[in-house]
Amino acid sequence: MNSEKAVLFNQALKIALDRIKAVASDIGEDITLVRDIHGRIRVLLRGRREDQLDRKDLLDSFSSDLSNSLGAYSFPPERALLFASDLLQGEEIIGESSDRRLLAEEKGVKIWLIDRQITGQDWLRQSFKRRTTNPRVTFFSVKGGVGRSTALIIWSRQLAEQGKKVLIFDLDLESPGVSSTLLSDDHLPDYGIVDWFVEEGVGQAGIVEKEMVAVSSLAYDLIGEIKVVPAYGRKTEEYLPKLARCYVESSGPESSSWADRLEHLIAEIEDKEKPDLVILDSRAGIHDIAAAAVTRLGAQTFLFAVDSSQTWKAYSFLFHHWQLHPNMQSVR
Amino acid sequence: METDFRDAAERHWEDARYLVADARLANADQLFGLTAECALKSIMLGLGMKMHPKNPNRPEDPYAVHINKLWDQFVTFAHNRDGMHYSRSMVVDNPFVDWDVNQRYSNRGKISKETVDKHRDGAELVRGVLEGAILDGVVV
Repeated sequence: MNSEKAVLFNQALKIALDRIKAVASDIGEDITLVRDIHGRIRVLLRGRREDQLDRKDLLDSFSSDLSNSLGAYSFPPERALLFASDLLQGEEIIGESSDRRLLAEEKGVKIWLIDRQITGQDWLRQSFKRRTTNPRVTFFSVKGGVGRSTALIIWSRQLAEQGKKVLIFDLDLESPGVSSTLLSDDHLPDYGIVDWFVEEGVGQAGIVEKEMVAVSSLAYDLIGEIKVVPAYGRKTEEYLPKLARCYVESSGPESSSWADRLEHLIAEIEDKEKPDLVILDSRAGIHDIAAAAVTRLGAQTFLFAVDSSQTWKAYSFLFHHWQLHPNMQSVR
Repeated sequence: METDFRDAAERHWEDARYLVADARLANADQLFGLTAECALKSIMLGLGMKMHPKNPNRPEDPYAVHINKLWDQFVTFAHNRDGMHYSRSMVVDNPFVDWDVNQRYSNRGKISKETVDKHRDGAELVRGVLEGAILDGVVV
């Protein structure tokens, strides 16, 4: 392949946007780009393919142009355009409630993007409407080893000194730490978060839900209390096989996003425990757990960092991505 | 003749609905089953299923089966990270377990409205899965 002529991921979206702007006024309706899981780009238009006879030449030429411009990120011309009628819910997909975001506006024509990704969709999604009302706080760090869990423990104790009921979820499932720091082995509940995700996946959450909260001895001498929902419990046994099944996106027979499932878990336990405050120890790094904990659960988030160029570089990727968030004002 | 599972799924679906509207349920039922079969096979091809080395119109074993067996095969096939995206909404009992391609030789009175409704719902569910695969570029 001629590398000088090759189109890379970085360039493809800009090229597509330029090609579309050139014909936007001729097309005369909102245009939605769909970027697939490989990064290939095509265009989704309203209506039915068979109703396009009066602008067939325009659309044929546009398809060819798009296809020729995008290199490895193109579809063949006959597949470069999709119509809503090609899809079961085509009109909804390009409707107001979808995951699309506005890329540009050209001569009154809005150009949108639907970005299909295997992971990471939650970074740009809005918070759920919660049914519980206690405040939630997420502790997040883009790199590990920056004192996030230590700060969480110190703050929890301070809140318990003030008489607060604090409930902590150890969501650092790939590297559970808070669980063992706050609960000695003989204080662990029977089950933990990994057990809940596995059992909830087959409709049995109720069995483990009653046995996954324990009181931390860290606050025994205080008027408040610290309770912990650990990543694992005394009866967890096979942690890795359970962790490997945690991220399934179904709840029993129903399809359900991972973030939805997490919200459900937290709300169920909040209902029972009635805490003054919930603290979510998110795993470090740009991972789907963090995406849910930081952006979707209605939590205030503390972002932890040490002053190093690696840390700020990693945060810059995240902040750059958040520039695209539909509710940028609420991302502070 | 070249195989195009995606287009076949769509035309079987369109024709099935046409037949239902005219109360020709027996043949509609056949086409709802073929809709689901072709839709799943189009996704499986996108996820890496191979066609039979000696017959390019036929998937390799054990996927050269009809929807009464293919449903569960699909769930097993699409178990990896890419495929789970599609199989997750199909982790229910196969609604086509009582569908048989040989029904086309039987008397029309053997197919009930309830059976056709169940198969139509099954086909619609699979079409929803196919739609995700089209947007993802898994099915081009």
